[in-house]
Amino acid sequence: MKNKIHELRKTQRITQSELADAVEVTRQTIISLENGKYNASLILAHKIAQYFGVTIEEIFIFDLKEENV
Amino acid sequence: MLKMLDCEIRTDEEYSKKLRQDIKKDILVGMIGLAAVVGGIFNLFAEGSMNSSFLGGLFCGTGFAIIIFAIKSLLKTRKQLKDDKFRREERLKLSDERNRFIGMRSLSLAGIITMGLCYIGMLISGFFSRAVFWTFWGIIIFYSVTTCILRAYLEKRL
Repeated sequence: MKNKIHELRKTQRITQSELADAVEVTRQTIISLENGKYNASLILAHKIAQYFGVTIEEIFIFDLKEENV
Repeated sequence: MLKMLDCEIRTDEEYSKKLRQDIKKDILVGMIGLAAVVGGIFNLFAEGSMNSSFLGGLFCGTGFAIIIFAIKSLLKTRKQLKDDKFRREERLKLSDERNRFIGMRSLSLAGIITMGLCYIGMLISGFFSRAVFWTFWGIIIFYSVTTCILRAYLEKRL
């Protein structure tokens, strides 16, 4: 699943460590999320969306074809 | 890795409480290690064969390894209780969902690989030794039964 974490982080000038600290995960998890290697759980997706002040759908892009829906 | 799988902690308070419980666990583990070393020393001095020497060495070796592990864990736990920043870092490492996912996946893959190798070992050992054959067979059956029981239990719980 693609996401806009990297773009949002750059726009708001937030480092990976700051975001990781705020949503209580390791920096490596943020790196994996940004690279699309790992999909966040619903709870983590909520935390990230709340941190940026947007909805989950605005950050995580659900591709119907990719997910075979 | 086992600590990571065991960790359902959300706050620093909960984690501090868990750390205090961990100290007791570490002491218990250390005592088991000490008992193994003592048992090993008795075995080494026991009259007899190479077998007692082998067992003595095995008990002492594993016992010392357990003691060292317990002391290391105890020191780390105490450091965490004193240092707030370090404690938070360690809590995040343990409760991090990706780390936990990696831990679960590694354990599950290790189980599958071990079972595959046990099956191959069972087939080959059948030609040479019945004891080894039944040992592999026992491991495979135990693993399969345990998996089925855990699956049934988790299906009811989740």
